[in-house]
Amino acid sequence: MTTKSFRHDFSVFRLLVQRELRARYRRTVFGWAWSTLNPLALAVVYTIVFNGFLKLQAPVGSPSGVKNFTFHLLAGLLPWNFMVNSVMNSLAAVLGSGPLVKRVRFNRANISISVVAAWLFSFVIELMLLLVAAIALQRSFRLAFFVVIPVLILQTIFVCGLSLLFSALNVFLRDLSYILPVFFLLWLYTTPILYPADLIPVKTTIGPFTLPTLKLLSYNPMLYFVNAYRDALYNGRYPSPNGWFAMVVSAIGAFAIGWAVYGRLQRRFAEEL
Amino acid sequence: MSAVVVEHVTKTFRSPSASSNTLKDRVVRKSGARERFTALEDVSLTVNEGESIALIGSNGSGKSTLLKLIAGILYPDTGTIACPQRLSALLELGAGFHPDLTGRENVFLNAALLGLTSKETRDRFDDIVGFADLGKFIDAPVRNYSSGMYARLGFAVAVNTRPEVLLVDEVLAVGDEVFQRRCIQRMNDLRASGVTIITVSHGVQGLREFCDRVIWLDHGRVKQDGNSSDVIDEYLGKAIGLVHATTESNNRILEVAVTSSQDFPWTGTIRVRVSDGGGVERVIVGLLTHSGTVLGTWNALTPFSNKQSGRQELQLQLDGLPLASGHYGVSVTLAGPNESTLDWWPAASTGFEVAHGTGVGEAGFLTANPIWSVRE
Repeated sequence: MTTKSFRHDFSVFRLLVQRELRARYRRTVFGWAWSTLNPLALAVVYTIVFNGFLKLQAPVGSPSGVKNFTFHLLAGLLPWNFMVNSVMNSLAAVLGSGPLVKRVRFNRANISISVVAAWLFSFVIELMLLLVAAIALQRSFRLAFFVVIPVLILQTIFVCGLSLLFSALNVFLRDLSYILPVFFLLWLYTTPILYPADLIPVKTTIGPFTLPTLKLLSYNPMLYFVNAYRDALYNGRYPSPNGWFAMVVSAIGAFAIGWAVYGRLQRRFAEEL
Repeated sequence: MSAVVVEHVTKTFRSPSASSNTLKDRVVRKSGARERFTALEDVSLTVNEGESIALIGSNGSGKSTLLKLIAGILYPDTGTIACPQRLSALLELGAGFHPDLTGRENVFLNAALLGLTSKETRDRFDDIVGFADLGKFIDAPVRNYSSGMYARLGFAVAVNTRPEVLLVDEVLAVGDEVFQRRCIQRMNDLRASGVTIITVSHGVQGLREFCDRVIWLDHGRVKQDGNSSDVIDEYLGKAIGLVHATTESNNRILEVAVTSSQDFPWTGTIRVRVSDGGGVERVIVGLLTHSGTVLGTWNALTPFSNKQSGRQELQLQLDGLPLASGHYGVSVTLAGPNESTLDWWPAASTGFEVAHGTGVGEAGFLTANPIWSVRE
């Protein structure tokens, strides 16, 4: 890739992100406040249901000593929302880009990546609010907070990979727009975000099948990202080497697959959109 | 030096009936069984730097597909396309305008898509706005623009990106006459300044003057590539009577061909070859404009009544129609007992071109030998 085409890609990218951000909360009363009000409202609902009704407790942070259900929940839910919002909006953005794709030559990966970037923007704001809450709850500023930065970078690469993969596949298989929400719901409930991880049994028996639940969970990449954010912000410690390894592998793996699939399928976008 | 090199390019599409993208379709229809049609077959051509060429051919000849392949919007199945220079494609004016953003914001977005950096766009912003002539509307959302304003802004952005290769797909047929003339003026300026220009055209008006070379595509292949006048003469003379053989059944239209003079007023002969199974009571020939408006119809009542069933040829001569320059089509309908339609031949399949005059400032379908005078 030449410098010139890279600069071209970058200016297209920047403008697409701007467009995405400007258009997002247009014609709403609260506007951008929704980007923080929305997850907060969700956190209130989940806290009432899971903490209030079901009496689930947040674990005690070690070494921080923090015990706060809502904060524990948000530290997992916000990274989760970043992923789901990015992927689902990428699907829509690619489908909606037909007029552009059919008439203008540009690197089409920009469409999906710019959506991820726009959601990254609001996620970073949310993370900063979480950081303020973490400092307030832990009553100290820890070096472990900085871990959030590399974790965020790895998760963004991971999310870009998923967005590229699913938004390209969706052009050829429109059912994905309906399958993915169900898939994400299943994924959300199999990741200990709304409930503490120690509730997950080693084995689960459903009818004639016995699943090694805990072992299966260790293949869930989101578990490691959620744990890493919680380690840094809630527990005040560094993620385990095992966790780092899993995050690096899932980020590189998802991106490589997404990029390869997108690169292949985008050649026929102009015909299929 | 070559600006664009196309080598042995073949491009196929899924046929429209097969292009459905749901899980059910995938499962029910085995993917290998999908039909494809070939839009371009083994096309090779070279465009030299600074040349102005036009791609001509009837609907479905593959000329727009070829332009999109050169533009990098479609990718070929086999073969290669090389275009090392900065390319700007005018496939539709204002492509990529976002309705909710203002004209100003869209200029930056559109210019970026066409390859400009923000700084370059800022430097040219005044030129762009000047050419588009939008006044205070530049800060209004483009969804409030008229189609003419939309087109003006789109053209203004595209020509101000200073491309080295410019691709144009019939976009100049929009906007009012003053604007069209300014566009043509600007295109001539670009050509004079050495920009390589590739145009796709359904008509041939003005191509003799504007192009160094014309490439005639027919059914996805290059039929002729050469000097503009030679190719256009050949195209107008012969291509018009395209042969469309269809499977023979009882009452069918086998072929419709138009041969016409290039004189004014227009004189032409429409030949209809029909397979008559004994049921043809009426043959209706219609003359239509490019956009499908019916200009006239002519009926032949029970033309084959005293003949044996079988192949018949019917001829209709039309003398002295004052048609203006443009693209026209001929449709034919076979009617049977009780006005039932036995077969229909769409106008899109049999088109012809009328070219006379300058083509500048002409609109509508009729013309005359106008004589102007100023009263003393």
